[in-house]
Amino acid sequence: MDLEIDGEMHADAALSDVLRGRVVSQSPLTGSANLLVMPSLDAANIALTLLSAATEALLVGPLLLGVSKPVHVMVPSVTARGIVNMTALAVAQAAAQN
Amino acid sequence: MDDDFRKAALDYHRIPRPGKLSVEATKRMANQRDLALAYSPGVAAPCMAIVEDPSSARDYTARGNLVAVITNGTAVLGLGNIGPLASKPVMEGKAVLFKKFAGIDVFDLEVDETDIDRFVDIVAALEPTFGGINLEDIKAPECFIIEKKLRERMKIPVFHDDQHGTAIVCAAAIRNGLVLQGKKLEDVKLVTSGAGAAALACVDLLVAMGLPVDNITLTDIKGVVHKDRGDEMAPNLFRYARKTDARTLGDVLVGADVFLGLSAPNVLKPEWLPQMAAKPLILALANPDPEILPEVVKAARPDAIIATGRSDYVNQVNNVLCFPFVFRGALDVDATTINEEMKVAAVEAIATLARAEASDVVASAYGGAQTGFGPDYIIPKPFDPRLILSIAPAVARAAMDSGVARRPITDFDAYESELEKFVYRSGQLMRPVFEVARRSPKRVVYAEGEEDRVLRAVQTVVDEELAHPTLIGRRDVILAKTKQLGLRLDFNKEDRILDPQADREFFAPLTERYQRMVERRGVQPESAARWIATRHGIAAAMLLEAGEVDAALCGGLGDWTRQLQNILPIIPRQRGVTRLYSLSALILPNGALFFCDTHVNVDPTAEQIAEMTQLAAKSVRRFGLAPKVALLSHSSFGTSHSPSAIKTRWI
Repeated sequence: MDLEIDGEMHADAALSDVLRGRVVSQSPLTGSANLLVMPSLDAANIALTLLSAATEALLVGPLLLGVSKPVHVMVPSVTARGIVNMTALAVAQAAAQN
Repeated sequence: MDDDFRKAALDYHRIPRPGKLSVEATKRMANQRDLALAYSPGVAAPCMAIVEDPSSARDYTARGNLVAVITNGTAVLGLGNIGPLASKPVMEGKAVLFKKFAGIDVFDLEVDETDIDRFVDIVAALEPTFGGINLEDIKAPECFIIEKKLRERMKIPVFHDDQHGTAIVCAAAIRNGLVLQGKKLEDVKLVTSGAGAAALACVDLLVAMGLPVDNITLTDIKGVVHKDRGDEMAPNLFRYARKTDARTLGDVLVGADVFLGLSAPNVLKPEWLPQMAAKPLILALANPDPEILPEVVKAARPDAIIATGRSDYVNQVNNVLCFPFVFRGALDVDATTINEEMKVAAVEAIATLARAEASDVVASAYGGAQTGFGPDYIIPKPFDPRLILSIAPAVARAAMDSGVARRPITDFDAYESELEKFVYRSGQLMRPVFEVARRSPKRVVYAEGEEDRVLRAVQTVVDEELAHPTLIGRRDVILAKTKQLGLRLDFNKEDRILDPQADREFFAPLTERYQRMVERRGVQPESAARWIATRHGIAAAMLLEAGEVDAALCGGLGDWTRQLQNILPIIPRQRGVTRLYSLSALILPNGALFFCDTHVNVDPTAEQIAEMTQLAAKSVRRFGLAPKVALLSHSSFGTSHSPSAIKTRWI
């Protein structure tokens, strides 16, 4: 798979190619990253909940990766709107598997 | 509109704060110095710069990206003359579309003035404020005159979307429909139903593209528009008046290649269809009920291609395909107007996009299928991320070529890459996903069927036709809650309730299967039987495993990790995958961010991070986004050599 990817880097460098460019002259990653891969569950979960609480952003997921059929476990804080989103995602996944 | 939907729409507009828009500051104002720069005395500097060179207003103010959406409320949607105040929700909505699709800022202006000259004076006087004017929902024939006068007086683009936006998308659909039907625009005979603002703009544009005036016949509620009709006709309508004895739509449809309906429901009678020419093209754009339904056309004329204004049929002709991007291109070269050349360029860009190979991103957003150019896909989908990338540069180039661009773009590669950035920031994350779901609804089981949130969500899922739900829970409890919440769910057809405690017969084979799955995991048969009856996540996963449903949504209550552990023995991993991981997304104001692993693996190894990244990237593609991966750390490209830093190093 052809993938734009780079690391290891700070979170601010991930979102800004200007900051990234000050450190490394060339990178397979261009522009602002949209998939942030964290070194640990703590880092990922804290980043997610902190940003979510500080910005009132809408959470989509968590999505389970690596299962053979579309199954997801929703978090206790999920809203009705979040469940609708999860439904659409699960259906789209099922459609892609056919 | 039913009562629930009306209430949902009212709540949407009212909660948590009234309306759909606000103004936001784009500059920092954190300290005394910022204040001095932003306002007195610093602000005098850009003022004086603009006095010296008025065109520098574009550099120092938001004018260059600011469009006025202006109405007097005389022809609002299908609601008619409801006045300027009541039209405000529509104008705010239009503003949101400009912002979300093309990043254009809008002030919505609802003007209490029906006199043509006074309205024109008011709008013309606003030229210093805006980079462009979008006239909206003004009734005919005033809208023609207002637009004409404003175009003459103003040195910024003036665009009446109801006319020209519709015309551009219609023309693109006709362009591509004719390609598929093997006909040339120069040769076809076109008949309209409707001779209002939109219909006239459509035929004007088609004439600019090469359709001979003599091949066009307009009809309206009074029948064929002919020279002897005797009613007062606007000059732009008189241009198309025919010298003919034919008087009805049925008469003039004989031998017609294209029907263009912009009028009223069911005016195109099925019995007329056989008389149209071979391989006809039918645009039935009255909303919500078209001039004729696609299934009726298909039954009578399998050789026809049909487009409507509706999202639940193929080939939706929707203005949102065009107006945000036409303005984007016009503003970006500081165009003085939106001329025919720019409109034709937009038509060709839209038409070409539909004929192009679907990109990776679009293909994966659509589940890898569909979207090939053909009778069911003659125009792009409204959320196709390539729209802005195709239309805006085409319109900008046309403006430059036709000499109306005050600031020509010198580096189109750089321009296109700026547009691309916008596409990935614009938070339309869920749109392609919903589109796929709506096209192929599947059976989804909800483990916590008794939960209020689940029931409310399921009502939306059913209304939106996203899925066929199965709810797990006690039947009487679910039915009572459904009633109490005022929902309209019907569990007697495809949608069903399954109660593992009561529906023993149904669950017997699943229970036996589950017992076999866990017997070597230290679970006694009696425990397994009790668990499937009481732990709804297990029952849901078993239904999925047995193929009773296509997807399962568990949890929403209680401990997440325990819920996951319930389903692990039941649903196997994908072949070749060593572990499960989790991915979460946040929809932020300037784009979506995905995070992993947020819920499953406490301390993944480098190999697991690599595997997870591949899986997550694939998942991101499903949202119609190109994944751009950053492996994060406290370390910045080798500044630390701790084990955690080395783990996310890309080599």
